[in-house]
Amino acid sequence: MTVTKWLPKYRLNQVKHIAPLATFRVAFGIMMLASIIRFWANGWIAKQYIDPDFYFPYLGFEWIQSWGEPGMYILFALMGIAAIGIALGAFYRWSATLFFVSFTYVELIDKTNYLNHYYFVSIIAFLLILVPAHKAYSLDAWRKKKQEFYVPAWSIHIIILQLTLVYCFAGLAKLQADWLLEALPLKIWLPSRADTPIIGPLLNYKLTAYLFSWFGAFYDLSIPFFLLWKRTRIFAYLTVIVFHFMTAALFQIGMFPYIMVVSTLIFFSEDFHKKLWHKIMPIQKPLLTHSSYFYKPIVLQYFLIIFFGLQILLPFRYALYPGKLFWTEQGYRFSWRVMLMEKVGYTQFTVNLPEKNKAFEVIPSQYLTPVQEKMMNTQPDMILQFAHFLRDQYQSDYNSEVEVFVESYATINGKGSRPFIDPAVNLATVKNSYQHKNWVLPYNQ
Amino acid sequence: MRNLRFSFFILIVSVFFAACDNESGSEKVDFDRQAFLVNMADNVIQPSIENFALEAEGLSVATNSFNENISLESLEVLRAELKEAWLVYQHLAFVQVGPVANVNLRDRVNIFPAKADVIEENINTQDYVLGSASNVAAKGFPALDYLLFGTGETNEDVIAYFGNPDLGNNRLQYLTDLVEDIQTVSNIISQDWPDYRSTFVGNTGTDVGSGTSLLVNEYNFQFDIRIKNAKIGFPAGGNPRTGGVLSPQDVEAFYSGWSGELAEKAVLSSIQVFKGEHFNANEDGLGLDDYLLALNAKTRDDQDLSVAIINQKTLALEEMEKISNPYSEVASAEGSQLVEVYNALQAVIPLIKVDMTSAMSVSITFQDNDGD
Repeated sequence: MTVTKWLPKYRLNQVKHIAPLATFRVAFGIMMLASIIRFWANGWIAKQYIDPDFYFPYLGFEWIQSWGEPGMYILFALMGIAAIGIALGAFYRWSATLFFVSFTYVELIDKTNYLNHYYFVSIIAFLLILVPAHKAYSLDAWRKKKQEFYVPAWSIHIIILQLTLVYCFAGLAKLQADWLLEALPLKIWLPSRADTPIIGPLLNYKLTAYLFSWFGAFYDLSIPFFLLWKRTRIFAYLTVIVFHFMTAALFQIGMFPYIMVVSTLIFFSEDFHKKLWHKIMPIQKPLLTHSSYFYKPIVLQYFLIIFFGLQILLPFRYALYPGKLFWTEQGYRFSWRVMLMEKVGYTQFTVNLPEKNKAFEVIPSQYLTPVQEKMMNTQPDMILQFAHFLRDQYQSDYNSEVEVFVESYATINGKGSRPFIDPAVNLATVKNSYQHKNWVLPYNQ
Repeated sequence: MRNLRFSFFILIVSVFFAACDNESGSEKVDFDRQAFLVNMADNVIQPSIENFALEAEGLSVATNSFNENISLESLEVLRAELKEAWLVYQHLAFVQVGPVANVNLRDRVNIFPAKADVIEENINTQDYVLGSASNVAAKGFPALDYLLFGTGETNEDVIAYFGNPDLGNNRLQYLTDLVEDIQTVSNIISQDWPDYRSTFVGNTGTDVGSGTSLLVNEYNFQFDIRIKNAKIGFPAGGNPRTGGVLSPQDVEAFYSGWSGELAEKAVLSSIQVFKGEHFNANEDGLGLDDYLLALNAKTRDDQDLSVAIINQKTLALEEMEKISNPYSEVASAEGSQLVEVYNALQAVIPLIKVDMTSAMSVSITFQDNDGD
């Protein structure tokens, strides 16, 4: 039994022109190259992946480590070459694979640097490995002297589906009391940006925060559908541009707005993209309809169903844990929760050597970069990792039993700081796992 | 169909207005960050810098007199000048921005405890560079504290230390070099301040490098690490709540016994800077407290954050005032009063480091983020 039987109207292998996919490939490759150049030029390779003495790996990925200097630069150079390969469609499968692997590897080194848009890039890069985006308008096609203009529908639709998921989950995450009824955290953030040119003074008004909050939620939930619908598409795309450029002006969110602005072009029609390509490469005459991709990809079908099924489930995994999601952050990442809360924390670690009757007050900045410390202060799993790092450090220095306690406070959306981690729990003996963290104090105790 | 759509629209609009009902539409954050920065620059920071330069000059003059005539009187004058300068420093340490940060004031003049052995070795070998990393604890106020108080049991012993026929001149030279270093620092700061001032007041944002961001971060660092930890916590055995090895010799001004006065001055200064109080007059300008009020920042118990911060600091100050002996003596006893002070100071930390930075949403980095 094939999956297509359950979805009678959707034909996986319906013939589509490659143009939208090719545009996406080129745009994505260029954006990635720009991101890498920007990252490099800002000195962030060293700052984030060479300078720190300690990294916060993901559970199960501890084997992923920084390559140091010059290793990290080589890795980023390879990533850049791969991005060029994607844009040009040169040795495309290899380029896409290399890009996905190198990019994801770098992201897994340190949780500190987790961004939803990096997660997005990893996923898109992975999907690009699967699709035949290089069969035309590419160096590979030129090299092989063979342009294949038709691709199966799924290769375009999975990218549209992915974008839709991102927007919808980001929108769903906004449907909660703080965001809608109190305009938080925008009510805190916007006035701090009151020095922004032109619209700055407006940002001091509470009404502005409410308008932005409501518009943001509505935008995220609806924009993919307005983009899908031909009659609203142009207007929707203008909204995309305005929305993302606005967020770029107001917040420190890097390349994400620009990536979204070019990515959403894939919602446009075949004809739109064909015309676009015709202007750039006016030579082609349609050849060859059926490429090797029109096999019956049973394995691929099941794979994609599992892949997207997992993606739909992941944002809901928080429901498996007790407590307030924003407080414990159990199941917070990899769920498209973007710009959703203003959280600040403070931690003070005390290391005890009971056998030696010694106690040490640890100043985290001695070991961590300011960003690492800031991120750790609000995320219990990172607090635990740092506690274990201190345990190992003092154990080897003093060859003695070590206890690690933390006094910690945090606040969400300006609702007042409160105790965060149980100060009586010796974190040195707590295991790092996906189990519920009962040593995080309840939000309302 | 159209009717349905219209009702939906009405529903959305009414829910929206219901949501904003308790906030009037024109309600806004009414705070002039530029005026705040100007007040901090001209009425808080600049006079503090000038005052520090003045005291450094006084210290230098007294050192010269002591050099010319080593006597009990000149020693007393010199000690008094040291105390004045050290007290004034406590205020300036809270505004380590611009040129004050460039010279790294805190690390340059007030790393304690002083390392007496390094100081003595420097004096003996006559081969030292005060700027080198190995000498951070062999210079500044703590080193002067050692030279003027720690080199003899009695005043006569201290006089004899400098009058020593073999090493006396070396010791006087070291003393002079230390004072000169402080004066150099104060000169650099006062010279560079006017240039930096426009940068400081010109950047009214909250990004890294903006006046507000620098001020808040440095303020918090000074209070948490350099007051709570260094002045109280470390001598009392790390975190006095969990216990540890008491280290009374680690207090600030161990030899002169001024630890209490300096710490009280530091907390008092932190309140003055917080309020944006004019340095010279008793006038309350636009400060961090006014900013928090404008932002309507509250504590968990719905108290005004600015009020809570001032109250808790005042409480800490009261705990400090209960202690009359030098902290080194207090810290020698287990379960000392320093624990009370420490607890009172620690209660300030979440308010300034968590609630205040959150309310102002100041950045600490240029790095991308997507809101935690």
